[in-house]
Amino acid sequence: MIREASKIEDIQRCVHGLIKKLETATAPWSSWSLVFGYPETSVFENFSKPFIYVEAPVLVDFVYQQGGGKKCGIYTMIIGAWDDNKTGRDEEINIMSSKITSLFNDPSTCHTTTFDVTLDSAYTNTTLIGQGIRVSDCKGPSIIDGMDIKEFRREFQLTIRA
Amino acid sequence: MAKTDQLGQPNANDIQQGKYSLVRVVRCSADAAAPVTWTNIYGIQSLTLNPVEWGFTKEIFQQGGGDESLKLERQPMWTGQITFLKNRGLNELADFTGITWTTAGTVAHLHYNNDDYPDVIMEVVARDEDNSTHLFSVVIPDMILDGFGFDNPLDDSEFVLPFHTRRPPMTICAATEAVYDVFTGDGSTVAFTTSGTALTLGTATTEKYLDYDKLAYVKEQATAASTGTLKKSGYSLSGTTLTATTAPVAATKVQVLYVKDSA
Repeated sequence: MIREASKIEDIQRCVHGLIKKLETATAPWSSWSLVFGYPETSVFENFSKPFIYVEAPVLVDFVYQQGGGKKCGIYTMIIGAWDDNKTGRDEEINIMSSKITSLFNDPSTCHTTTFDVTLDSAYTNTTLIGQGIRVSDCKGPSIIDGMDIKEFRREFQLTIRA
Repeated sequence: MAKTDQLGQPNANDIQQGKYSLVRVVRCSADAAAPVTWTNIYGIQSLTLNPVEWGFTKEIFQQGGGDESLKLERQPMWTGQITFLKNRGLNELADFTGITWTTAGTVAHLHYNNDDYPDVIMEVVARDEDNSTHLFSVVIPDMILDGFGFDNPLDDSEFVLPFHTRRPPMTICAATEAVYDVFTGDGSTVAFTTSGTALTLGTATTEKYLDYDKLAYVKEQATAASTGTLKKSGYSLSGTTLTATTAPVAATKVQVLYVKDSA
């Protein structure tokens, strides 16, 4: 279960773990690389395919209960898709965009797809709900301008309750 | 005090936010225990207790009194509502009604109250922003749950539970807490030992709805009765010894609500 004192990192690890499971096993996710956090230029320039990056969540609001002390957090989280001159046109980035928004806007799929993650201990075939994470929605993409006409980058914002 | 006195800024704990209030209940029909253990209530978003409403009011004059009148107020009732996070509130109903809300117990909450008998005593423990330091409490005795509805919009929603009581709620000061002791009569015992030392609530001879200086109430509930009957007299308290003038009949529950020092 995600840890109160490590929530930011644990949520990021779980969402990354979910996409990682798809990347290793399911087309077209297996056509893309996956990065934990915001990727350094020197790193992704060596990639041979477009990649998805999973940034850390940001706490934006709370849900309280009387007497609770600790609160349930509402987070926003950026998932990015980046095609840096790997395909030459925007078809691939649009496929990535569709898959990301479809996954995280389908609650019965994103909350029940199993994955492996290590937090306080190693979890095998766990789920987002099993770790105490609920994705409310995924909005986007926002188009992030690149340096090159053949560089395509999109970002999506997840709203998460944990 | 001079008209030019400067009071300065408010103290930080002059403000009390509901999110730091612990709400807990005991069932009025609890089995004998001294004290009966409180159950914490989760998921509360807000709790409202309305001012007293009188079922009967009359202004009484007398000849020769001119415009001076006595306002007669009787049949008090306090209403209110508790707003919960929806799923949590529906689950917390089990604590109010005393049922096990699973397939192993009672599977349904009917949306009306089948009787007008008290369900729970509630204490709202108002705390400072450390979520621990006690500032004051509001004790709502003999809370009766009313019928409830259901709201199901697209987004997050809440569950609202209305209630009423005919026993006067009271606010108690910091470092005190409400206590509910329940004893079982055996037909001969007249002395019962309270689990705590009751503090003075007021002067019974001048308070309309206080029968004992140090007890919010004493009730006796016979075996066949659905609820306890108020004992406006017939008991005395000295220290932690509650003495009945007449020994309660065997199997009668003696129910006592009072306030003690938390220290």
